[in-house]
Amino acid sequence: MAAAVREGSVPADHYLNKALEQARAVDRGHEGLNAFLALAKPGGPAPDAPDSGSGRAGETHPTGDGLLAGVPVAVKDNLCTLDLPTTCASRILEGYRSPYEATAVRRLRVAGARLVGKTNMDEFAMGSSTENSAFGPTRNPRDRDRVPGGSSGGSAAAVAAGVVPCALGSDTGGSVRQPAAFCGVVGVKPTYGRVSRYGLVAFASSLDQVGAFGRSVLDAALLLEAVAGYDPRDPTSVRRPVPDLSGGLDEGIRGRVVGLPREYLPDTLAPEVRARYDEAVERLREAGARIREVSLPHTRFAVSTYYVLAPAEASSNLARYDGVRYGGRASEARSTLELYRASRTRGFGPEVVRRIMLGTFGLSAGYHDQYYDRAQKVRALIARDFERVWADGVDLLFTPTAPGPAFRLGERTADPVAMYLSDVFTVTANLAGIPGVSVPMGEVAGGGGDRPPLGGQFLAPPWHEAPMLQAARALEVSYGITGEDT
Amino acid sequence: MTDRAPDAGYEAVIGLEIHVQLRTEEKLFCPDGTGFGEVPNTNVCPVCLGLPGALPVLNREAVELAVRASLAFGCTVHQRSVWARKNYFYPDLPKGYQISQFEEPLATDGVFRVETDDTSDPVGRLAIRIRRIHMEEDAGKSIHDRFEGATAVDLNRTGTPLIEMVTEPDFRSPAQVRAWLTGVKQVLEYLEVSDCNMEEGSLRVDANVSIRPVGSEPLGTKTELKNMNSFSGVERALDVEIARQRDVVAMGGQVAHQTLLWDERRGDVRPMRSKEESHDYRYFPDPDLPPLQVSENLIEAVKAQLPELPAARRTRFREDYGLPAYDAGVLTARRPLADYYEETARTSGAPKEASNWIMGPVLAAMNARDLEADDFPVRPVHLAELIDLVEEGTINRNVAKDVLGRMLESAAGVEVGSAAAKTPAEIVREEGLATVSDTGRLEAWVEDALAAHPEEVARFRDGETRLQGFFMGEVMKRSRGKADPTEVARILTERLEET
Amino acid sequence: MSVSREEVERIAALARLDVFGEDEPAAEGRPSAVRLTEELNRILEHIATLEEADISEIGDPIRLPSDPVPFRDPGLEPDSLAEGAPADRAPRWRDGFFLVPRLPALVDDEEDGS
Ligand SMILES: [Zn+2]
Repeated sequence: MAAAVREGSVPADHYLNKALEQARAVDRGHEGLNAFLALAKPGGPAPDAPDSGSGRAGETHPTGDGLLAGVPVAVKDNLCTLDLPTTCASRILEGYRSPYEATAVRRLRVAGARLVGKTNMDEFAMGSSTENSAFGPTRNPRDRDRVPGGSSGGSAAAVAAGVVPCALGSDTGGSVRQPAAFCGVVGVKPTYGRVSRYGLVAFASSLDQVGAFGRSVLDAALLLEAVAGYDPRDPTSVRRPVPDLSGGLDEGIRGRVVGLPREYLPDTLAPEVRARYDEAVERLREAGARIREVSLPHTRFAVSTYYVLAPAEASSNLARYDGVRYGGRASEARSTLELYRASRTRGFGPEVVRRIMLGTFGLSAGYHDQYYDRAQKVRALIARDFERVWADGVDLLFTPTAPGPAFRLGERTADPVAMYLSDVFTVTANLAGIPGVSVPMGEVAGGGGDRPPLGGQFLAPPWHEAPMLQAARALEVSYGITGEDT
Repeated sequence: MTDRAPDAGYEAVIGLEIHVQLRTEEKLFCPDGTGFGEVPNTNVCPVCLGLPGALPVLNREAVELAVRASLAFGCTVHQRSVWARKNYFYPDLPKGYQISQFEEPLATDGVFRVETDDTSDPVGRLAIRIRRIHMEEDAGKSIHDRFEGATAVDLNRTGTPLIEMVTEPDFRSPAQVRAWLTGVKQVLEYLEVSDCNMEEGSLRVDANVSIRPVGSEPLGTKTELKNMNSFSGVERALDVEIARQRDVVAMGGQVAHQTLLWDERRGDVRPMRSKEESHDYRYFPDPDLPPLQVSENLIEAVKAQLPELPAARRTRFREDYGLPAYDAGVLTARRPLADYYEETARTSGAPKEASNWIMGPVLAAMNARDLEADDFPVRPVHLAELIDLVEEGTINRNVAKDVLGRMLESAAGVEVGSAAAKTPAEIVREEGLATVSDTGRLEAWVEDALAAHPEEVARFRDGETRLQGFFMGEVMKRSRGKADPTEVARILTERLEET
Repeated sequence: MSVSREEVERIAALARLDVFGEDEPAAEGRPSAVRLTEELNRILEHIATLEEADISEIGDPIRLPSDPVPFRDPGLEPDSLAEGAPADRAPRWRDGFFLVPRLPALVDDEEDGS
C-alpha cells in the first residue's frame, strides 16, 4: 500500500476511504463489531507533509520517510488525537477533545499514515475483554458472541475484520497481546521506554507501553518502527536508535535458543491449548530453533503483584478526573467535595471504581508496606527470573499468550478474579519491562462449532524486538501467513 | 524582637517548614515561564494543566539552584534522590497529586548558624539543624473572594519549582525564629536562589510548636501554624500560640494536635478545618520520573559557583576595609548593596569614606526611592569619583552632598548606568562648584562679612572667641559654600587678631 | 487479610468516590459498599499469595528504565494547546478562571475543606 501511494499510482485517500467504508459496513447495527468509538471523515485531515518540520529536536527517529504513506491506521481511544475525541471509553471523558497530540500519533502522521478512527477499549484500559467500555462491548470478528479480548479489543477487532492492516493499542498487562491472540492477529508490546508515552492516557505508568497490531508480523513491525524512538517529552522513553524491524524479518530462527518456561504450562492448562502449543514448538524446532526447558519460579506471584501495583498507580493517575478543568462534572454539586465525589462516581464504571479502591487501599496508611512496598519487591524477583534465563544463554521464551481462547460475552463479567487471571501469561513482560509479541498459533474447537484462534507469545530481553519479531515471523510463515504488502 | 519571657517552668519547642520558590526561568516539569502577573490560566500547557496523557520533564536549572541552597545550608546532597507523588485532592492541584520527594530527599543533615545579640547564648550564634531539603512543584492559586459563592482557580503558578526545608525543633523562642529566618532569607537572596518575597508567596513559613516543662526531654503535643505572611507575623503568631498552649496547660487541659491558621488582622490563631483522612497522602515513587541523580561533577560545579555568603563577607569587610561590625552588618545585609559598597571602596581607594557615604546619604536616597543598590542611578564608579573630589580638596563635603543630589536629578528618567547621566566632575565644572582657595577672593568675602557685622567683631575682640564659627558661616554664605574652609579660618584668625 | 465495610467507606472517601451503605437507598451509578467490600476481599484473598514470596534479598525495588531521570532538553518549548483551550474544555469558566463551589479555609466557614 505505502509503496503504491508513495509512487503515486494510488491516490493518497484511497485506502483511507476504503477502510472507512469497510468500518461502516461491519461496525454498526445489531451484531455490529462496535470496534470504533469515532471515525474520521472521508478524505480525513491531510497528513503532514514530510518536510514540514514536524519532527522535533532531540528525537531519535527517522521522520517523514513515508514509511506508512496512505496506510489507514486505527488508534486506541487512550491516545490523544487532535481531530477526534479521546475518551478512554469512559463517561468521565465523554466528548473530550485533547488540545494536544500524542507523540505516537504525530509520528504516524509524519510517516504518512491516515487515521481511520479511535477504537473501543476497556475503560481506561482496565479489563481483558473490552466489556468494560462505557460505550458498549466490542465483538470478536471471528465469532460475534465472543469477546475480542482487551483492553485494546477495538484495535484488535478492526485489524481482524480487515478494516485496517494495522492499529495502535496499549499494553499494561497484556492489553495488546491477549486481544491479538483472541482475534487471530499479531500484537506486539515493545520494551518499556521504546515508544513515547506522551499523550497516552496513563493507566499504570510503570507498566503502560504503546503497542502495535497487524494482520501479519510485517504490518505490526512497520507500525512499531514508525512510532518508536526517544521523545524529549517522555522521561521514561529511552535514547536509543530504533532498529530496522521490518527489514530483517525473514532472517528466521535458526540457531536461536528458545526457552519453554514450565510455569507457563501448568497441568491445569486445557489439553487442546497444550496440544496447539506443542505443535507450535515442533514448528519452531523444524525451523531450526534450539528448544530448552527453563524455569521462572516467581511467575506464580505475577498476577498478584500486578493487581497491587497497577491499581495503585491508577488510583493516582485517575485523580485528575475531578470535574474541575475538563471532562464530566456533576453540575448540581453544592460543595467541592460533593463535586468531586459525584463527578467521579458518575463518571467511572464499576471496574475502574474497583481498581481505584484497590489501589487507594494498597497505598493507604497501614497497608502500604504490606501491599505496595511488598509488591514492588516481588516485581524485582520476577524481573530477576528473566535476567537469569537470558544470562543462561536463552535468546527468547515461547509461551501460550492466554490460558484459553476468547471467552463468551458476559461469561466472566461477574467474577473479577477470573477475569484478572486471563492475564496470567502476559503481565510478567510488563512487570519486567521486556518486549513480547503474540502470533496466531492455530485454533481450537469452540463448542458452538466455531474455531476460535489461539496465540503464542514470544518474550525477549530488553531492546531485542528485532530477533523476537523474526521468530514470530518464522512461526507465522509455518502457518502459511505470508504477510501482505503494507 | 519581642522576646516574651517564658513562664516559669515551661519552654517552647519550635521547628519550621520553609517553602522557597526557586528563581528559574521555566517551571519544574514543563517549559512554561515562571513570571507573575500574567492573565490567569495563560501560562499553562498540557503538563501543568494535568491533561490526560501529559508527562513531566525535569528542569536542570531548578536542580542546580536546589543543590546550591542545600550546600549553602551545610547539607549533604545525595547522589540519588527519588521523586514521589503526594496524593490529595484540591482544585488548584491539577493532577490530584503533587510531585515531591519523600523517603529519599535531595539533601539532609545541615546546620545553619546566624549571629544573634542574644546574651544568653555564649557564642552569640544560633545554630539550627536542618533535617532535610527536598524539591517539589508548587500548586496553583485558589482565589476565594473574587466571585460570590465560588472559588476561582488560576494555574499559572502550578509547577513552579520549590524547595522545602525542614528544621529540627531547635528553636526555643519566637525571637530566635525571626532572627534565624532573617539570616536564611539573606543567604537565599545572596545565592540568587529565590526572590524570598513573603507577600508574593515566594517564601512561605509554617511552624510547629509545643511546650514542655524546662528540663524535660519528651516533646509535648505540637500544633502546626500556617498562613503567616511576614517574619514579624511568624513571631507574633508563635507568641500568641505559645501563650495559648500555656493557658491550656495552666487550666489543667491538654494541647490538641491540630493545624492553626494565623489571622493577621485579628491577631489570633484559628483551627483549620481538617478531616481525618486528609493526612493520608499515600506517597509512592512517581513512576513517570526515574530517580534524580546529582553527579559529583554537578555538585562540584555548583560549589565552584557559590558566592561568598553574608557571614564570610561581613568578616572580610571588617578585616579588609577596617569597618566596624555595625557598618559591616549594614553593608552586607543584601548582596547588591554589598557589591555596591565593595566596588565603590575599591575604585575610590577610601573604604571608610565609602562606608560613610553609603550608610548616610546613599542609603537614605535608596530608601526614599525604594530602590535596590543595583537599580540605584548613581553607580559606584561615580560615587567613587565624588569621594575622590572631596579627598583631593576639589570640593568640600557639603558641596559634595549637593552634587550627589544633582547626580540623582540628572539620572532621573535615564537608564541606570547610562552615559547620559552626569558625572560629579561634570556637575562641579558646569556649575563652578570647585572650592575657592584663591586668597584674593577669600579675603574679599572675609572683609565683606566683617564689615557687615561690626558689633560681633567688637564682641569677638572682647574675648567672645566662639563667634569664630558665626563668621565662618557668614563667609561660606557669601561664597555659596565653595570657600576652602581651612584657608578661610586662617584669614579670619589673621584679620580678627589685627587691631 | 480482609477489609471491613467501614474501611471500604474510609477508602472511598479518600479516593473521592461515593458509595452507599446498607441503610441508604441505592442510586444510579453509586456502588454499594457491601458489594465492594465483598469484591475487594475476594481480590485481596488472591493477592495474599504475595506473602509467600521471599523478598529478604531484595534491597531497592527495580525502576524502569534504569537510567536516571533525564534533564529537559534546553530549548524544548511548551507543547501548544489547541485554540480555545483550556477555557472551552472547562465545565465552569469565568473571566479566565476555573470555578468550583466556594472552598472554606477555616473551621468557622461552612462546608468541607481539604
Ligand atoms: Zn506547563
